Amino acid sequence: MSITNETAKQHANDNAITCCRFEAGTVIDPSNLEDPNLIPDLEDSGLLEIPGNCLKIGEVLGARLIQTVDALTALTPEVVEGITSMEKEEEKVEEKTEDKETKVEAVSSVEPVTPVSNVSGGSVKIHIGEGRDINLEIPLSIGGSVGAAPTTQLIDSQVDNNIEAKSEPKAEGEEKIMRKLVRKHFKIDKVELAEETKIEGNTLYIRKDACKDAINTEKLVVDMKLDIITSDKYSEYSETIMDVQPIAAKEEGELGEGITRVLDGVVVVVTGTDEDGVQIGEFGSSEGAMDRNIMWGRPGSPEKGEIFIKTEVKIKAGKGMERPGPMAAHDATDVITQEIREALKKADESLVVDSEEFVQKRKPGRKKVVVIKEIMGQGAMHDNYIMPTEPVGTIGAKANVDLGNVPVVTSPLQVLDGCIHALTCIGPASKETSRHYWREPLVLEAMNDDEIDLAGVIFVGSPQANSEKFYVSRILGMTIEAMDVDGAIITTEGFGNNHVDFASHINEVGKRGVPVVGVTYSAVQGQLVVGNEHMNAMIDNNKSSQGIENEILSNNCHAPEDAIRAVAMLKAKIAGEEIKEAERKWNPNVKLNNIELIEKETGRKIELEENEQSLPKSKKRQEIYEPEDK
Amino acid sequence: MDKLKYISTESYYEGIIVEVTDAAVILDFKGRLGQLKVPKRMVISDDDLKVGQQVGFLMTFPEVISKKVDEDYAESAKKQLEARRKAEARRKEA
Repeated sequence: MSITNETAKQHANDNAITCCRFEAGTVIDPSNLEDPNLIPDLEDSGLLEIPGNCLKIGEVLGARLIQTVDALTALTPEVVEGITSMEKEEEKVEEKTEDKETKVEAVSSVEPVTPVSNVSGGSVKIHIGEGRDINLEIPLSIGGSVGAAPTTQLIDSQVDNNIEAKSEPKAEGEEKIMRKLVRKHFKIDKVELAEETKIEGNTLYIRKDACKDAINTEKLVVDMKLDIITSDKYSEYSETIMDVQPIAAKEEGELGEGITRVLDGVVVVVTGTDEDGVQIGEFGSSEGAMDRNIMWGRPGSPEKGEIFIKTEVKIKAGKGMERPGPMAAHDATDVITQEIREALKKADESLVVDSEEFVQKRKPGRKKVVVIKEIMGQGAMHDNYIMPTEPVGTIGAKANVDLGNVPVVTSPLQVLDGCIHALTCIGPASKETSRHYWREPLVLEAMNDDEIDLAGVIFVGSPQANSEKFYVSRILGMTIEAMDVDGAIITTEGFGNNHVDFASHINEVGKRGVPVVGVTYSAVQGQLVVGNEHMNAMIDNNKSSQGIENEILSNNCHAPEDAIRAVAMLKAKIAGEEIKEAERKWNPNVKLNNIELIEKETGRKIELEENEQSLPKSKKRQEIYEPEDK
Repeated sequence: MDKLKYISTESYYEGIIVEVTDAAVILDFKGRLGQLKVPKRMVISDDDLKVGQQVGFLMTFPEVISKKVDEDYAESAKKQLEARRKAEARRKEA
């Protein structure tokens, strides 16, 4: 397949391979050359071997063949005459690691005819055609990974951007406090069933009949069991975990401001099946021994040592696969939680053990950034309740599917105050539970970063059909245009057709000239199904050692380490720095190198999350995923 | 993936959608070669899915990658299979 002039220009530093047979005497133009994007596949399949002295596309254009060559011949100086010299000076920097990006600082008086950086096999090549007073600082990289299909961009235009950004800094105005949220913590170390729901000292009492009453509120719920799971019971069997929820109630103000009370040391865990024993949601279920299927300490999962108030909801046969079924399981559980919330509101103020304050500020003059979270919106458990009256409640909320999955703008504090009640039941490892939003690391990171101005958090649902996906995506694009932001980070959960709209969202934002970073689980199993030119700054949430969805709750969800990388990557992109092209295959080292580089640059120690290797190995994992004889 | 010996055996298949729920899609392989149940979010479509629509996909032959048997998983999956059969029977009765 021959290439166009434009592609040839973009890939001037890639190997020149003929696409067909050409006679001696042919003057080489782009139509004689094979598409550089296909070369790695051809190499992999053994159809092509590239010798060390293979000429570059920029060198052979306009040159003449002195021998007749077959299709897929790597052009070398032996078969071509009249080679254009591209390199007057070449500097090669060998790096121990393969990072994603090289920052090139140029002095404004120089006209860099420049650096097409070609990254392969762990080396960065920087070619400088002509110049003086050039400062190269290598390496400073901040990047991600992921198998997107980005286009190579020439640095020279980006260097210009960089200079422009530096020479015209916006005047920093005074910070404006928008609103504050106080979380008052109550410590619970014992949960017991009793005659009345109340909090006394560090003990939470739950009314014995609460469960019975909850069952009666939902037609689809035929039975419900309430288990108090203390740490000695972690090894017991549990039906699939549908959600993990904090228990919190408003003391003052509306959701997202004022005072919220929250119980520490205890979480609500929703589990369930239908009457026949079919797991609700059926797919991506995490039933089994809890201590082997929960990745402790992730934003969305329980902490080791916490007590679970675990409901096991049984819904009508066959209803687990239709939208009202999972909703009924959540609603019934929330009847019990609501009763606890009422008791929490009445709890004595002297029981408050800790209090923290979140402040949402607008920071004029700094780069205005928005976080966009794509949430599931296909129905059944692919749904979320938005904006309940109580933190992570159900009352007063509307499901995003009912809202048509269109973008909904919230404040960062509303997110941290539980404005999302997640019905999500995708693969457990990449499922963002309600607790994930309550402790949303990206929102916290962006909100607390003084170099950027977080304008808000946008939720956009992911419908099933492409036509609807593009419908919501177009609306998102216009929302972003109207907001006049300087940068955006887009996240999604799970993998599958939601990557179609994820890519479309990135395109809608990117094509408006807004630098955009994508965050998703990808690695091996969740490889992106589509790509576009704006998907060149991607963060992979994967933590599993094999890069797969391994049924361990919250294992591959984004954690603080990913949030730090995402914000750093966005800043780099806004500054116009070059982001290296993703490698062809998933390579966990890319992330580690980026972490190292951010640590080096900022002096901040980044704690890396543990993965499933820290859990007792279940037979499933031992035998299916990680056999030791392998 | 390194465990597969016949890694490039993927070939083109077609199938018919025979069931759609809010969560799952059942595909019948053309030629009556069996059925596949997948999460709805794994199916890419321009419009809402309908029973009878045709789908195309690449698939390889599943290869046994370990001689060991995973009893836990098998037991849990068998339980799910039985539960589904029970549900199926119940539906037919009704």
